Amino acid sequence: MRQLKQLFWIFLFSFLGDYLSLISPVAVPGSVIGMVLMFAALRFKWLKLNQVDEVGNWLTDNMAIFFVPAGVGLMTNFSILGDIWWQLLVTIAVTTILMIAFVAVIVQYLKRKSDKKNNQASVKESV
Amino acid sequence: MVDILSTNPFFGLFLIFFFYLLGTMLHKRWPNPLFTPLVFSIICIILLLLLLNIPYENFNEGGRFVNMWITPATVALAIKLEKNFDYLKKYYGAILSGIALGVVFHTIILVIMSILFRFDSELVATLFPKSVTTAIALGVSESLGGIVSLTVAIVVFTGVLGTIVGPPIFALFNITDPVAQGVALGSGSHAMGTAKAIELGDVQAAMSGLSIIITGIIIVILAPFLMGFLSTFF
Repeated sequence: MRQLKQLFWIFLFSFLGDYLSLISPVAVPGSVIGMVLMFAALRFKWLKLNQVDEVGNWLTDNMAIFFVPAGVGLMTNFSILGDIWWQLLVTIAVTTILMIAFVAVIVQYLKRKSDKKNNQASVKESV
Repeated sequence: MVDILSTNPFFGLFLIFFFYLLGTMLHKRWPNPLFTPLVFSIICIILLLLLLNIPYENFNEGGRFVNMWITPATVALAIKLEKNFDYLKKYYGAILSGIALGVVFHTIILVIMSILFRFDSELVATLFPKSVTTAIALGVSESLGGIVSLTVAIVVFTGVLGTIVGPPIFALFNITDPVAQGVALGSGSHAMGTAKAIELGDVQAAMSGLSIIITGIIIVILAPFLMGFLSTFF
C-alpha cells in the first residue's frame, strides 16, 4: 500500500510534466518539467521526502535497465549510417571524451578554489 | 511461429531482464566495460534479433513497457536533488560555469571535426545536441534541420560511451571530487551518465541529474546561434 501511494505521487508528477511539455511552446521534455515540479514540491514541503523516497530511490537506482529498449533501437538506424559510420564514431568518441574530461577538470578546479576561499574566510572569522 | 512468439510483450520483457541480469552477474565477476549490464544487454539483444531475423517492432511490444519508466525515474531524481541541495547552493558558481564552458567547448570541437570530415550542416545539426537527454535532443535536432532518428541513435551511443569512459577519465585526470564527477557525467552523457553516477554515489547522482537540466537549457538557448553559424559556414 505504501509503495502504491508513492507511485501515485511519482506518476502524478510524470503526467503533469508530460502534459505541460505538450502545451509549452519550447521543446522541454516532460520528464525534466516533472522533475523540477517534484523538486519544488519537496523543497516547499508540500510533499514530504518519506512520501516518495522508497519507490523513488528504487527507480533511480535501477535506472540503467530502462534504457535497454532505446539502445536496441540503434539497429533501426544501421541503414542511414552507410559509409559515414566511422567518421561519426570518431567524432562522437572524441567530443564525448573531451567534454567529460573538460567539465570534470573545470568544476573540480573552480570548486577547490571556492573551498579554499571559504576556508580562509572562516579562519579570518575565527581569528 | 517465431512471429507469434516474438510479438508477445513478454518476449521483449524477458530478453531485457535476462540479458541485463546476466550482464550484472558477468560484470561482478569481470568488471570489464563490455559487461556493463546496459551495454551487454543492448549488444546481445541486437545480435539475437538480427540472427533470428526478428524486427525491432516485435521486440518493442515488450520494450515499450520498460522504456515508459524513463520518465518516472527521471522525475524521481528530484529526491536525490532535494537530499543534496546544499551542494548546489554552495557550489552553483563552479557547476554553472563548468557546464556552460563545457557546452561551448564541445560545440567548438564538434565544428572543427565536422570541417575535418566534411560533414554537411544537416549532420552538424544532428550531432550538436548529442550530450543532452533524448527528449530535448530530438527537439533541438529537428529545429536545426538535423536527422531526428539518427540523433536518437547518437544520443544513446554517447550515453553508453559516457558510462564506459567516465571512470577511466576520472582516474587519468585525478578527478576525485564527487560534485565534479557528477556534473561531468550528467553534462557529457545525460541520463545514462546519471545511471553511472548513481553507482558512484549519492552526491554524484544528484549533481548528474541536475546537470542534465542545466545542460539541456544551455543547449536550447545556444541552438539559434548555431543555426546562424551553420547557414553562414556550411
